[in-house]
Amino acid sequence: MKKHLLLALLCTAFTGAIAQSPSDLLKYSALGIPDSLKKDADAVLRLHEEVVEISSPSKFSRSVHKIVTLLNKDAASYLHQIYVFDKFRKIDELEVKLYSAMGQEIRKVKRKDFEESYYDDQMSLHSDAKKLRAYLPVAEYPCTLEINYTIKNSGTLVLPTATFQMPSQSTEKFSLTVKVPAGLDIQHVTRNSDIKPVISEKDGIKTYQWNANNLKALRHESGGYAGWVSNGMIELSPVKFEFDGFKGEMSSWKTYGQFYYPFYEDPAPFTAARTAEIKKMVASCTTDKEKATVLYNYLKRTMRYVGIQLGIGGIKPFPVSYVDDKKYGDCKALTHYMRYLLKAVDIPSYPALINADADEPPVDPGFIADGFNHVILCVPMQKDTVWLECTSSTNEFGELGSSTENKNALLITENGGKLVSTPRSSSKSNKLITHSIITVGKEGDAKMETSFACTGIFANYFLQVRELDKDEVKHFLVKWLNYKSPDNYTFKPDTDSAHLQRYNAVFAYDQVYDFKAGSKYFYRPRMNEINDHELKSDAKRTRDYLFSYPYERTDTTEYLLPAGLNADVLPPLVEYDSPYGYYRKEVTKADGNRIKVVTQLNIKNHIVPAKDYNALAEFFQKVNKTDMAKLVIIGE
Amino acid sequence: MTTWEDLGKELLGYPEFGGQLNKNVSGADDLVNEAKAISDPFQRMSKIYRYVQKNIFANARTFWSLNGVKEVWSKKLGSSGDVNLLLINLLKAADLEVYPMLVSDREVGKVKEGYPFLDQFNNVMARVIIGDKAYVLDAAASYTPPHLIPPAVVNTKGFVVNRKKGGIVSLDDDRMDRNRIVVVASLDKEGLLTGATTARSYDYGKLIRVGSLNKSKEKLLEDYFTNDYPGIKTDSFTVLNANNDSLPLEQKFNFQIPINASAEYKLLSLNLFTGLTANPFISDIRFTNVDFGVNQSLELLEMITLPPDLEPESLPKDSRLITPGNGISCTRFITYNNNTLNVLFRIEFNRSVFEAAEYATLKEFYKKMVNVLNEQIILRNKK
Repeated sequence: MKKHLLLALLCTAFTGAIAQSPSDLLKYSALGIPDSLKKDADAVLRLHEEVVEISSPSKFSRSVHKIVTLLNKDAASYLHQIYVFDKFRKIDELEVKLYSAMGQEIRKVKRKDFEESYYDDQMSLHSDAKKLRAYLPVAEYPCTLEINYTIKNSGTLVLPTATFQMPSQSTEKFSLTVKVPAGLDIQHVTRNSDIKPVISEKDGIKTYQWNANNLKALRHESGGYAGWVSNGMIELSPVKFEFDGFKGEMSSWKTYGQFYYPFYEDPAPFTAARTAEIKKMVASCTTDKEKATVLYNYLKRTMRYVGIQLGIGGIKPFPVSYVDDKKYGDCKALTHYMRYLLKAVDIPSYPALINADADEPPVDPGFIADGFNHVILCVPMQKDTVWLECTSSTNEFGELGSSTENKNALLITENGGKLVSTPRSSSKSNKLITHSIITVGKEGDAKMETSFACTGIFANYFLQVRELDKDEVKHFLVKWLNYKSPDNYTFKPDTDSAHLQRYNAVFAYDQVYDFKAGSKYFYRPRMNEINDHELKSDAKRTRDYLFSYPYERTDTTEYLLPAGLNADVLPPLVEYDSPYGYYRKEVTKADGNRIKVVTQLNIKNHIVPAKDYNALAEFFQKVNKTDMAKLVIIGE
Repeated sequence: MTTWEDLGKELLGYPEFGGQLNKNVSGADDLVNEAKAISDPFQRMSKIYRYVQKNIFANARTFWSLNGVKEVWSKKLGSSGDVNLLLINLLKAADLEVYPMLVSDREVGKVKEGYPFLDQFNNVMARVIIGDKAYVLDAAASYTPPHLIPPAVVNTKGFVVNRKKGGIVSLDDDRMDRNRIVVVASLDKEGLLTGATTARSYDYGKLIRVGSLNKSKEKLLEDYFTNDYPGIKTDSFTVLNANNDSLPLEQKFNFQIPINASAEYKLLSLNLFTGLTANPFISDIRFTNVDFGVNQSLELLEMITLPPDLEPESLPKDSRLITPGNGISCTRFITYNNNTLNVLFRIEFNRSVFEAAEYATLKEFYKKMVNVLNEQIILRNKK
């Protein structure tokens, strides 16, 4: 709609005593938003003006003025305004206004109207973070929010990221200005866009200016990396920084590691007596690996994860002696502790900073920044490197898991930081092998004896199942492993062997076949579904697809049919092989009335490039179509 | 031991409850005057109720007024107690007979008549008397229409707080969670079932689905029609009458589903869009009652045309399953004429509550019912 016509309309609508000028109404009204910006959008960022002023390595401020129009209730999360602060980050100014569709101010909340409470990061038992929260409900959409805030930070370890484009939100006008003393400077990188800053310098202050206008909402695609990864955004990072009085540099990974190294040095970890006890634990071991295994198992057995983040304690671990005494710590404390257990028996190791989320990509080696949220331990051995997850009470020695495999980790060494790759996930590490023998009765009832053998992620899940009561185990078998709900069952661990965790179950079914027609009985090929992936075709997909982990699942199901029941025509062998998945199902008749179904499903890689997504979807569509095809058993 | 009468008097004395009942809410005059101009009391009540429901929001669930009704009117935000006590004020100002009524949401627990204690209640609602009908209004629930009792409390009891007319009342409602689904489809030689579905949801059935619709149309389609059918494709999904309280919610769409094959047989599933593809009761034991809230009725009528060269090998028999006492019944009728399968499923719940002691029977019934619904038609080449 032409601007002047819109202005006229708004003026006509609001003749009367209102405080806002017509141009104000225009600024906040939803009427003038171009259709191109409404397409695929739940919200339109009308204006984002951000100024980051870095005055020294220990101080910076961030001022944001944002106007966002919410087009529908899917953008309602904006109405819940939450701001987190702590001793390093103070909220100086804060005001939020709400406008109607026509641009009339409905409500205003200032800092004093926000509710203050402790901030729960869902991981720490206690931290010094708090939050300001306000809810501005609205009866009708569209509506517009205007947000103004200034945050003053002491410490430049982490500089803000400015997002200008994301799924379901388009952007009308975006600007980011960063001012920094020229001698200090910053690092910057723009993700998923080619916008570049205009750089100028005056009176010793270097200014970076980014602008972007009329950006359409990104497509929403599920099943990939975390949503923010594909956003258009500008990441900032310091070159020199300070945090809680500690100075450091991010000119290279080496210098960044040099900042962390002193935190991981403990001058008095153990007493002489305690060191002697530790050495005694491994006295019978002949190799470093054996020693490390014994000490890792000791850690798992005796220590508990408890997160307490207060001040510099957010990056500095508890002293080793504290953890040894209290028997708890968070990831950095337990890693620090494990490092000194190993050091006591002359095994060197290095704490490694890492970003631990399965749906996040590895940190960018070309951009030095604090993108880490976890610490693990790297133990170089003679022939290989062992990685230890010190917060887990169930991981096997040397096993990391999907949240820290496939990542870049920053080793903290005496020579500074070194960025290295953690092991790639392998389907061979995550195996679930099941074997069921189903003895079918004349009335169609059955007893099924099933053995489970598992490794990796599957083993971790099953270990948790050991803690469940009978009813909860049944829910696990039916809902997670997708077994047909039995009328009765038993489930118990078996003796582990050959690095496999083993379990046995016996299921009873009053009616094991699904349905019958005349003398034909229709049986499932197995009592559980081996595949639970269902991908819809999408020729326009732009984001890589992510499985939680690669794996190999093998199921052998044998039906022992009673006299009088025989298999009709057996289904043919089916095999599908693709770069990312492998599926095979073979049904054979064995001696007597035995029918054997062997099924294999492998997910070879956990990341599938966007260009291969459709082929992957087709693979699963084929698998789903054939996998649960019934066996036809003929009665006399 | 207190009596309900004593409890009522006590509650009326609290500033956070009784103290909020006769307030003059300035700024609401326009709304009240507009309502008073409506002669029909039900429409008058609806006008005020719909306004408060749409414009005043609840951020906590309690029968207490935490902010005061005047502030809540001004800020448009408060506890559910604030919102409903405000509603009661406005209804009274519009000359309607209205009382505050304490309630206990179903998931919180049953109201025990023999124990007059406040702790068993977690909300207050407005009870409005028009003629011989009593309406229950919860303006803190975002989409319950005025003529239905809020699902959280339907078929439970409430405590009316009033010196003269107070006491425990039943919030019974015979209306049901009712759905009627019609599927007209044809199967092609390649095993693709293509058709059109019309579903009509009535009363509480409509209310439940409007909950998904309020999130998005796609959510409604997913929750009630596509989630259980891998490989389904749909188009032209329309939803009508969401805002018309006197008409059922009408949902229409076209679909394509590939059917299963085993050996040389094609297997046609008739269990389309019932929401009952697996037994929801997995646990072997249960200590609490199963409470569906309201009675239920589902009717699924299907007309499926087969390709000229295929016919059913045999038809499943007509069947009727009933629980003892006729609490639930499940009926199936199937006929085959002129290459068309005509199928009728009818599931009726004549009770909404099943005691924990009846759980085993209920679970077993569901197992049989799901088996009947999931029984597939085997299609073979015509001889």
